[in-house]
Amino acid sequence: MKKIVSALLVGCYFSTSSFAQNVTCGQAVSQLQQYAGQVNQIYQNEYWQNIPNVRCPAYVTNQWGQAVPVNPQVVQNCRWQMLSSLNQWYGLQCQYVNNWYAQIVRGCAVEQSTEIVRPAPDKRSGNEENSEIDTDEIEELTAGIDEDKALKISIPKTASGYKPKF
Amino acid sequence: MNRIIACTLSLVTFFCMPASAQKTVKITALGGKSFCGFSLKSGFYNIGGTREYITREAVKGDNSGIPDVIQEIKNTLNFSVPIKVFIAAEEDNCFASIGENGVRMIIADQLFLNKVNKSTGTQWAAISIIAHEVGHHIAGFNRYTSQLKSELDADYWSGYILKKLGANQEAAVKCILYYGTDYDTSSHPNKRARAATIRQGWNDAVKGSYDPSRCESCSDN
Repeated sequence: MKKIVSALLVGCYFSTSSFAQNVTCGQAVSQLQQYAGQVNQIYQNEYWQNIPNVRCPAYVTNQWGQAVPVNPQVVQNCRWQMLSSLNQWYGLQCQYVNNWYAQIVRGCAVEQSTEIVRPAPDKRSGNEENSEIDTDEIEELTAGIDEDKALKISIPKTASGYKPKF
Repeated sequence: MNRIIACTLSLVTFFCMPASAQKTVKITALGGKSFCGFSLKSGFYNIGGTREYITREAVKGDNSGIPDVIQEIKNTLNFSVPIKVFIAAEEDNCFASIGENGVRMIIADQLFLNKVNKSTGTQWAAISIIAHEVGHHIAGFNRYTSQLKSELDADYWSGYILKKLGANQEAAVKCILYYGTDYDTSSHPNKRARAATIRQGWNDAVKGSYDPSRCESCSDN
């Protein structure tokens, strides 16, 4: 278990360091999600594989290659201790990940326009391709966009596409 | 043991949906295809993982204009497959992907498209990028053994679409000649090959024909 914790602490260090560099919000979230995925993977491996089969097996092989049952009480105590440690570690990781996520949200909120945190529209029923535009929804969606910053993309009127000069 | 399992599952869910997740749109992108493999900021942007950070879903008539452009492209080609549009921030890229449940989507950084228009001096530059991404959806994602071929097929449709929308040939290739690389990369062909393919698509549109090998199921569209 100490090995696991050490490995994850190393992961924390690298992840935190990389976020401190000039990564984009998307990259930071991606790194966080990768890290959380690794934590979950380790937990699953420990829970389903390592603890029952390697750390606290119900049977051990003797010198003649025979499977010998381990005292059930010993197995139960071993697994209980391992699971307690694993859950304690997982709880710390959970706290760490959420702190990290809050840090990203704060950083991105400062750097980017408020459109980032606008909610997505509800999925409309029916044929979305041909449905009429809900103007109230558009106003809600675009209220936070910096008009001076983001220009609307449109199909040019001329074959060369240069903006006409007045 | 059951209690521990329940605890574990709730924590897993928690990791997947952080406290502020409801404020953003998060999607799972599978098999994404980036536009040029370049980034104005870092030189090369690789999708890498399977998730992207999306600010919002764009809708027809909104200030991005991108869904309207895509709808115009689809109308021009009689391509009726729904494509969702998501706006990304600070990605300096634009890419097409198939999401969970087969949802077709295009993810675009609007400011990146603005920069491309400005630096190339033509508004067709952004349209050529969007057309390239629509081209990925026309060409399909899963039938390729070479990503370079996949990119060239998308370029073909970019040229074809731009002609249909009214661009001249030089405007259609301006973006790729400005931003493309001199040599093939692991993901994208060199700019000369790409420009030649765009011109081929443009010329086919002039002739009123198209290369059926460039699309996955043209007859269904």
